[in-house]
Amino acid sequence: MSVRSYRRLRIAVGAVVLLACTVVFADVRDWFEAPAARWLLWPQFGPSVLGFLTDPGWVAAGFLVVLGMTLLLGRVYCAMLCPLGVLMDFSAWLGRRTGARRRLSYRRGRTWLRVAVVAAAVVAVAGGSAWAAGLLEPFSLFGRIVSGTLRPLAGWANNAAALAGWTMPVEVSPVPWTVLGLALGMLGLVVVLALIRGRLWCNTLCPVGAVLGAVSKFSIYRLQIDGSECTACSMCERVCPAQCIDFRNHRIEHSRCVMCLDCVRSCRRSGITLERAVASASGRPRGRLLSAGVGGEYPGGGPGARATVLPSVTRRLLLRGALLLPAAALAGKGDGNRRRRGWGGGRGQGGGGRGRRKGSHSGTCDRDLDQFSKRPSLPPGAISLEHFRSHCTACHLCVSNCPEQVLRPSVTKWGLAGFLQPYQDFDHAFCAYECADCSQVCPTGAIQPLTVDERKGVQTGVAEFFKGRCVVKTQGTACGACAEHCPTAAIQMVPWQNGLTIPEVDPDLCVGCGGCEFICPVTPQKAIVVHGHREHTAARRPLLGRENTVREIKEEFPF
Amino acid sequence: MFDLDRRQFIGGAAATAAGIAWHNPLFAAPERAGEGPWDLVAVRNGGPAEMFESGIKELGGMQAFVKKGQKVVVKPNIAWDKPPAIPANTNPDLVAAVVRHCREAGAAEVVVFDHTCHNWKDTYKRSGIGAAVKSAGGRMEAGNLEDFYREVELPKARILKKTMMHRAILDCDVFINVPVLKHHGSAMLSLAMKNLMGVVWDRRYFHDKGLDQCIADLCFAPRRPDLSIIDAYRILRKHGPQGRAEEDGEIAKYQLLGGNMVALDAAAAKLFGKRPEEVGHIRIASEMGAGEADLEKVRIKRITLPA
Repeated sequence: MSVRSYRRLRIAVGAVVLLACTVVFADVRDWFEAPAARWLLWPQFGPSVLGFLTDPGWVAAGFLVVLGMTLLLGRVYCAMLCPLGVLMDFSAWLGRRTGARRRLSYRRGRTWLRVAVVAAAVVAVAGGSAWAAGLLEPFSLFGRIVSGTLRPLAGWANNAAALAGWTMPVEVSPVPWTVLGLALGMLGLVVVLALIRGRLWCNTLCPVGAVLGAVSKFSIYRLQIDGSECTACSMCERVCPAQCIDFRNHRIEHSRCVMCLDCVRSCRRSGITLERAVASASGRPRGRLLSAGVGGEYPGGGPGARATVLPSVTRRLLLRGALLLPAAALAGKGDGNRRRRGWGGGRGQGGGGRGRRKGSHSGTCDRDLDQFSKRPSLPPGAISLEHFRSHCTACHLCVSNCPEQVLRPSVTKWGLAGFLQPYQDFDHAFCAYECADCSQVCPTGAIQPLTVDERKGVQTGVAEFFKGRCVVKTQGTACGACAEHCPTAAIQMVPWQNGLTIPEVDPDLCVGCGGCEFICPVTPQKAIVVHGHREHTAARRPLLGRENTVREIKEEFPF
Repeated sequence: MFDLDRRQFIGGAAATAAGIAWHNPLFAAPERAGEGPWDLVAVRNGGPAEMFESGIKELGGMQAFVKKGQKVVVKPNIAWDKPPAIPANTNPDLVAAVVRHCREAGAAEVVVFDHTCHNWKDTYKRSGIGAAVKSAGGRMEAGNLEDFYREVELPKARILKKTMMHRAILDCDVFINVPVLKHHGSAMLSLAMKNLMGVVWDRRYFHDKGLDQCIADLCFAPRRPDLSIIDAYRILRKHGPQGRAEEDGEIAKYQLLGGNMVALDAAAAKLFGKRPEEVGHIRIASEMGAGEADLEKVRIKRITLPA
């Protein structure tokens, strides 16, 4: 493939990735159904690794393909599959087009920083706060930026159009100020850095860039400067967005190279070529010695020729590591399955709710629990707070794709350990009984995939009724809004005083959807509150008849 | 008071009618042709669309309500994400038949909407109403954006003095209300008056301030239905208003048509097996003079379609 066609491919694929990721995260009109959005993001490295750790399989194997590509050609992922990287290239291109002409020059890499970022990410995930890894992980960061800024904007524009009668309105959950501020700040930082320093972000703060950079040191094909062709015009160094070309020494730092091939294009004498680096194993000079020429014109290389067998050994070790990774993940899978079986296997293993259940039966205001002080609810499929916190990178794909818009990013709801990770906000909406989209769309496995039918058997929280606050008692009027909204008839209106009926909760049937809390008209403290489970349990599903009854006609018209 | 059973009543009515007809052929003629000015038409034993065809004929056809070039709003119950077999929503065949008749009567535009409880996208789809309306030549509108609602005053109401009503209702020429007869956990039954809660924005206010009174107050809204059609082809017997499964629904094959919601609701309550005065909002509405709940005083046309 010629350099020109590679560049075209890179731009085309990059444009598709950027557009697709933007649309998926700003999709207020549900253009992408949940599974489609999930498949679109298959090759995203960060979420794929986490997804593979919870549930290895080809569904989450995208990162293995990326690793393979990196071993073959270097950081192709960074070149065209990373939405944030493409956004940086696009910003820099726009900057150049609008006149801000900026020459870059070779800078030394900051290896210690890159190692520290990766170490921090690994520690964060292992320590049960995956958001910290997601803070800098490019896919999650990109998702948060779009979901926090463009999505509300798109919703607002759509509803303005709907008011004029051009389209149908949509619901968009409000974005917390902290999340909006963080999204705008990060967007500003990324764009400004791209304008002045190209891909600096990718080679300092990006954990994926650091990992792929380490792998690309051993890639089979690598860019090499042919000293015999070089006229020392410095064009390659000036255009390199990664600032990893040292033209004076004819050196390219491959761990920082993002495979844009702009240098190849800039060279007027085809002095930079993509060469098979394996050749070095047969004793030919490589690396720094390329300056002496690789075409065989200067055999023997220059002074300081290194033993070249070393990289190939490292590569072997690395490959073995790549094989070990799935094995480690498989070991973890058994655990995940055990947890999942728990949902179907009747209730009872999540003892957390026991005492509470009694309280909700008695219906007295024995605790001052309300919608502000209760524990929020995790999305169905999240298994437990521990599982969710240690797997959710806070990309907010579920927030964008929730048809009810009940999922919102948290700020303090889950504590610092769960910063930015979504929760169910029953102030604005409630979780649909006939929907499991969040679980289908989650790319990291933080929300394990459920079918709609499976979702109906999961209890994410349980409704608690406080009779002392209920309008039926305080005002003596008929209500029952909570029972109306209950999808499982867990809330029944039972006879009370003066011919009125009052709610009663059967906690076994409750799925914790929050419909009751959402609709309860009592302010400021709601009379019915859904207290989220720390660990999801099973909801009882009674056997229901699937046929209508047929009326027996005693008299044709009873009036 | 003496008790009439049905046979005696029909017999007596037939004798009276025959007597009148004998003495006054001019008065009897419309009666025979089925053009009597009925307050209420009750149809049974047919499909939803079929019962509507014969029912609307008795009220003078849709052209009695819709004139050429008018804007019509049809307001079914589409509140819940349930299929037609769980009768939480109005039957889609009936809604399609109503829309088609409006179009045939020359309506410029037929808009169908509901302020749904579940996500409108889901309810419009699963209820079958979205597709049915489209194929019948109507247009679905959404009800879940506050900006679509305008404040109106209800001076004659007792509690609901002010509320926000959907602009489609306020701006239309003809308003057709198409509720479904169903059990309701809060209001006991959901009928024609209750269905109007789907044209207002803030429903928590109703529950907070007194549900039955607020529903009855809607009879005094500046815009009231010109025609109401209660779908009782399938009746939701329990777990209303949304129902849990098909077993909650009963195939009853009835339909009630008429201009006055109170009379219609009273008749529908009887179809369900309740006395009208048992249902809070019917009792209050009739006390407030919104309509006649005593079916003895209502002129009813009863039609049984051949099976």
